[in-house]
Amino acid sequence: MIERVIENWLTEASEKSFQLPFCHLLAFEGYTVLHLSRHCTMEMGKDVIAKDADGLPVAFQLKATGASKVSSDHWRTELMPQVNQLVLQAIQHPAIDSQKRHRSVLVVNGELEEEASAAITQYNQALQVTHGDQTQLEVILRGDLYRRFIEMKDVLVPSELRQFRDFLNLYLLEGNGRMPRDRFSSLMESLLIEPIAYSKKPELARRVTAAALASSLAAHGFQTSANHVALIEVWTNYCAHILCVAEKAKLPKKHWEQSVEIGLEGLKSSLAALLSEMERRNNFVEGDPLADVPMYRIRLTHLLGLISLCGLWLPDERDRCEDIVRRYLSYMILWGEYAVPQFLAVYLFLSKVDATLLPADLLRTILNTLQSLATEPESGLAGAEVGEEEYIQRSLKRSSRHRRTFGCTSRTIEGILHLYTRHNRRQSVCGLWSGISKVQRTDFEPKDKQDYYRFRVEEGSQHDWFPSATQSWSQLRLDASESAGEAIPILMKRFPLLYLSFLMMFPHRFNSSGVRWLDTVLPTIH
Amino acid sequence: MLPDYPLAKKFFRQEIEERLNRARSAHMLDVAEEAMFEGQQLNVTREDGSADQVAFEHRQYNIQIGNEEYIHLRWQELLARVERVGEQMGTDAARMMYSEIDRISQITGNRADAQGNLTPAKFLEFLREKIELDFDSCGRPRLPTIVAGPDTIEIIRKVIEEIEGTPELAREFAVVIGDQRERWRDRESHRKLVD
Repeated sequence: MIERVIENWLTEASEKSFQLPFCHLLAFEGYTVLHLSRHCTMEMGKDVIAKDADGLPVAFQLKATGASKVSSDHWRTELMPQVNQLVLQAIQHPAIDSQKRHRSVLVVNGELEEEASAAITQYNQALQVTHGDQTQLEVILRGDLYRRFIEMKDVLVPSELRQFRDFLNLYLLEGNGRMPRDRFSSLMESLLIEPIAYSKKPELARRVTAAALASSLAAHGFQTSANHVALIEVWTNYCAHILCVAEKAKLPKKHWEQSVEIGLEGLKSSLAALLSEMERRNNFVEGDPLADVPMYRIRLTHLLGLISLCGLWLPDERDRCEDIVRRYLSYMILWGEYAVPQFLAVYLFLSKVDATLLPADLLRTILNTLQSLATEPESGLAGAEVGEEEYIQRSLKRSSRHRRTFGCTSRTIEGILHLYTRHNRRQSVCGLWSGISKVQRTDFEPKDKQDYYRFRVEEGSQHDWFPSATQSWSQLRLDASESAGEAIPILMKRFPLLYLSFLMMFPHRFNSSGVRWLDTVLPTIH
Repeated sequence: MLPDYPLAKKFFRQEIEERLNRARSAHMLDVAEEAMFEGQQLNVTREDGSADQVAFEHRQYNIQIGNEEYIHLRWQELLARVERVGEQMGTDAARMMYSEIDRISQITGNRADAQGNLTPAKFLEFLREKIELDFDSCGRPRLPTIVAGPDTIEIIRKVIEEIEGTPELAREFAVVIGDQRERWRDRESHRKLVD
């Protein structure tokens, strides 16, 4: 059945949706992928630039034709002009000598009609005459793509029927909702984490590629619906689990580094696409417009967090991101701790682009809201585990006795307090301290630090504590200045912006150590 | 396999879970509960700096429906069974909670013993010495909830009535509340940033 799933996915895939798994496949086959075009806009006819195992530069152009075959007309009128750019124009990339000959490959997820095939043969013959033997167009068709993907089959298919059904359910998702974190994580666990116990390193390396394909397959619905938020989370989830297996199994860099880089390219591409969508739209309603009313600002808050991440990650898009964030900043809503990482992203972005007191004031607002909600006897503070849908359902269902709906502990208040303390706003912290000191803190530490990447961990300890009622300001400043990030796994520290995306996806992994580290490291990045 | 009705049953399942939780929570006296989603250990550090490790206890409850019952069992009867189990869960959880309070109060010494003879004077003494009251922003006391068996509740109710009905005792009660308010203000005044 997996063969049919792959075949179906390959047939229906757009250029964008099979670009990333194709790059993962190249990486696995020994290529070094240097560049992917974003939005699938071709840059001089080249969607992917790589070096093959012999160091020869290779340029790929991807074409999605799906179930239909490429006709000779299609080749002549649409493909050939683009292929000319692919073949005849030198690769412009810092890692490639533009004087050096490159291989040119046209990748089509469909088939060629006989006439088109003959036309391409003639095209190559003409190239041979005008440019010599070395300049030829190679073609990869669906059959070849399928064969290469299907070689992943035995690691791709979850071994138990229940897991395979879960995998299929992901593949068949409509794509209009949130990425189901638990199910995606479960898929990654079954592909990458569980096999650590019995697989050797080369096998795990193969699984890294298979996991990329599995992520693409499972994200099929999101890709079709252009649900960029879900795709951001898919690639964040993928990259986090790759880092997890890399640390746990001590994989050499060559087995995972390129896969993470490709995954990050997918993430950035989705961020850029989300930015374009937000600029295009005059409202952010989705689905049933009447029922969207309670969700609107919650969605907007999440979007602003992601746009802030986009602004931090893509310097060329910073102005566009800043425009959106400033326009909608006052409509953000701190409905629960789940939203705190989204606010954190906005704070970190504003810290980069705004020299006024606005970023610090945002932190104060967060602190004030957290302590108000946590000490509010009627409702409480929705914890980091409570997602948007559960929050709304529980809030609307509150009994007529107004029993406290949520708890009174906070996972995030300590980290936010430390960031605010770094701004040296003593009087302001003084004013908030009475409420802040009443909020019980909570923190979870996995027994094995490398398990931090995972959605759920069996072994670990939760620690609940109250701060001292009387707090020394100088001690607080000292605590706030710490930035070693001891609570974060080593490899994650190489990717600070991935960490920020990770926190927005898994808010229950928010801790003060990580947040202090992030706040210290980010200003040093472009 | 026989046909199932997942859409309708999703609705019924939600109703069952709501009834179960409602029956369970009724015994928990609005004490805030936090779920722990991962890990197998909980360490607690209290305001006074003392630390503790919470022991987990596994509990399991069954709702049984015999094969023959399916024909005759009505929905409301099933919900009644669910609520009974919820009440049992709530009672057990409450018992665990009181047992833990008992254990901790043994350690801290924060206990009061009327030795079978609770008088207004002793009651006021306990209120003054053993209980820490909080107040709202208007200075109104957040009086604690008294949990006791029916006989003890009756005794306590009579003592409270006597205090309220006797001017001298009512004045003393007001003084105790006033003392508590001052102690609360003192505690709150310690919530501050110092150098």
